[in-house]
Amino acid sequence: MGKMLRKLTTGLLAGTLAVTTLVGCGSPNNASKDKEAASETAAPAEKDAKSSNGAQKLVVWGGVPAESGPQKLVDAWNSQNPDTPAEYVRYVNDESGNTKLDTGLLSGEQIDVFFTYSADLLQKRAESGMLEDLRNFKGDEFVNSEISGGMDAVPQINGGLYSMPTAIETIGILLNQKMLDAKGIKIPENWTMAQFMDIAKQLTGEFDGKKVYGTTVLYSELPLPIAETTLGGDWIYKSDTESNFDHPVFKANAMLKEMITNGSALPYEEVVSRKLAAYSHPAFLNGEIAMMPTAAWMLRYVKDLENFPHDFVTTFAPFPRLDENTPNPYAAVLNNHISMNSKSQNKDKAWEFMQFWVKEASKYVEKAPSWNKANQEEVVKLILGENSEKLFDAEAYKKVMLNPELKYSLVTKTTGLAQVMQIYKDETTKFILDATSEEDYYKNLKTKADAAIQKEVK
Amino acid sequence: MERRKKKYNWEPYVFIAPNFIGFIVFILLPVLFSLGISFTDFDIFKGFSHTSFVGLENFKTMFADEWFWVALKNNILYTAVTIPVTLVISIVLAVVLNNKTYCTNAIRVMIFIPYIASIVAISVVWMMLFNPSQGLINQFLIALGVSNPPGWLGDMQWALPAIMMVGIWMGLGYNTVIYMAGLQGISESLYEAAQIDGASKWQEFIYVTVPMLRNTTFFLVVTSVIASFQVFGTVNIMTNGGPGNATTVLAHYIYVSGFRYYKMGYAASMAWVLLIAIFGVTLLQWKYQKKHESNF
Repeated sequence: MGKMLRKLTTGLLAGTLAVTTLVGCGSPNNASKDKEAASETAAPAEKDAKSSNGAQKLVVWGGVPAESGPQKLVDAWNSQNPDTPAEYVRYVNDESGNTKLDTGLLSGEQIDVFFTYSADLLQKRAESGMLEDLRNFKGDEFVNSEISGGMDAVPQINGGLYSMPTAIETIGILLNQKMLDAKGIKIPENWTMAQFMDIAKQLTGEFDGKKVYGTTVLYSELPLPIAETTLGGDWIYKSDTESNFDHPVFKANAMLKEMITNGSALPYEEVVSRKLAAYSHPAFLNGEIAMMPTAAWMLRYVKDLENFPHDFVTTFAPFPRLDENTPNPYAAVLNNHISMNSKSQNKDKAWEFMQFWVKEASKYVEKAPSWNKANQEEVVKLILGENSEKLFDAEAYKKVMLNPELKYSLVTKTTGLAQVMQIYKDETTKFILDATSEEDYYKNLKTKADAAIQKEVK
Repeated sequence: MERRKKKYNWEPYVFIAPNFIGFIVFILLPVLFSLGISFTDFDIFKGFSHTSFVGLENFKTMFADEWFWVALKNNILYTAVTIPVTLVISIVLAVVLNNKTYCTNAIRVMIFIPYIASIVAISVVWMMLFNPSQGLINQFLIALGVSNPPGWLGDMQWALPAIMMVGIWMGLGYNTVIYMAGLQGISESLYEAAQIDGASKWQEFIYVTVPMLRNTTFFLVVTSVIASFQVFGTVNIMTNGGPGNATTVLAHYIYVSGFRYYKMGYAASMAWVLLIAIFGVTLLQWKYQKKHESNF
């Protein structure tokens, strides 16, 4: 009997252990299953898909920190739509953050509306059926009447409209006004690579007892986007099956390398060890470089005097063109694409919310809005922030970053894009570090990128 | 019959069940799943309905993929350098710490910390040390009179050695502690006998300590090889495989293929080749060990 009891106790104990362990491991899955079940049946377990006061709820995933505007925008929506409040969830827009979003979408988690920031991912998500075709809601009419550039500037995938841009991301160069003044330099209109090189050289040297380089030549881990601003969104493609690296505009890269060699640009080793290859604002705001490539969203760092204290005014210039005869107007991208989950249970409300975001973002989100009726003065005020005269040359900002003559860079081809970008990055690094000659650099780029594209075509 | 029945004890199975079920659900099934998808063109966007079976296509692609070979070469180099260097330094450290030193425990803790510290923190600190103009290492080299110190992480030649240095540093603590445990098992009488024969300290080390630590060394070699073929964290954080492909290793390339190029099938097939390679190397090591055991 005693033996029996012992056995029974042991068994029970082990069984409990097993169950608790499994429950511990499995709870996230169960939770999402519950949500799925709730949204499918919408009967007894409604509390997951609905908010606490019993109303429907929209879940919105975006990459912009909630405090940079989205929270205020969502609050505004909630006060007008108490029956369908929205909840903003921030995901980090990097590889792991996007994987998290994709697995969430695939596993049926409640995500009604979400943002995509790259053309490549947008295409993959659209082709996999994750996104609702917004033409079902007359989205094309809305885009044509409300968004700058209309349908011509918006990505369309296999003829469908799967997203709407909510912001205009302009790219350009930030300059340290103090350093320019000290050398009496004025940036010429429509400056060329040769002028850019010359000015970078002049700005190199000692300033306030500190070693200063004219510029850095890497942005987003790639050479400055001279080719992109010249050729537009499909700058790496000559056709659907061929890369474009034999285009003369890529010769700008050899000039950029020359700037590292002659010491007027931040050395590559320095860039890598301080992780400045993607974004170089720490060096710029610390007065180590006089010019820095930028996208509009990066102005938030200039405003962040707590983490990046500095006492100079930042001014703006467009990217230089290869030469006088090669205009480069493609410095603006319609981005921050808002999409609807094709499995959303609240599609009508989600569509309403998306329109609300497009129109209202200009009041809350610190980005140039895609909405064509936004009040520009208010936008400038919101983006440059308080004390803007101490930090920014507002006139230069309007002239360069909100230049109405800029053309939208629209990506329509994405075959093997990630691989080609990797090749571009690697080969350029080897070239900068003198591991390949200039001739081999362009030859390798072309052959390797062509091979990568053709591999994906078959 | 009665006896046989009694012999069957089910309690132990119940006790290991929680762990075993966890192993099945979170390791075994995903591993088998990865074997399955390694013969397909699966990616998370396609889902299963659009995935097609491609046979050995992924493996064929792999052998023609320049990146795969570069990654494998870097992996082999990494293993071939870090393991011997780590073992030699840690055996010396263990002997020194085992004998007369002050603050043995404090030193032991100090060299063990890298083994348990967060790899992200380690990488960030080393990136500062490797900074070409302001980093401690180059400042030190300049003070020693080196006029043109390496650019480390941004240098095609020095990036991999830099990653190796961090790997060695991280491995020292664990290896030293295991060696110190091994040293406890060597009988004092062997040293006494050696002393009577007139052996010097060096000879004691070479002819007594090192051979007696053979089993410990074997254990460390096997586990280190397995671990070093999977090096990922330091590479991902410090160099992201660059400059160019100077520090691309297999685990990193598998990650890039799966999560940047969205080729899960291809990534899974490379992971299996990596697994088979590690398994093969480990088998060889066992064989070698057995052969030498018999001579002992």
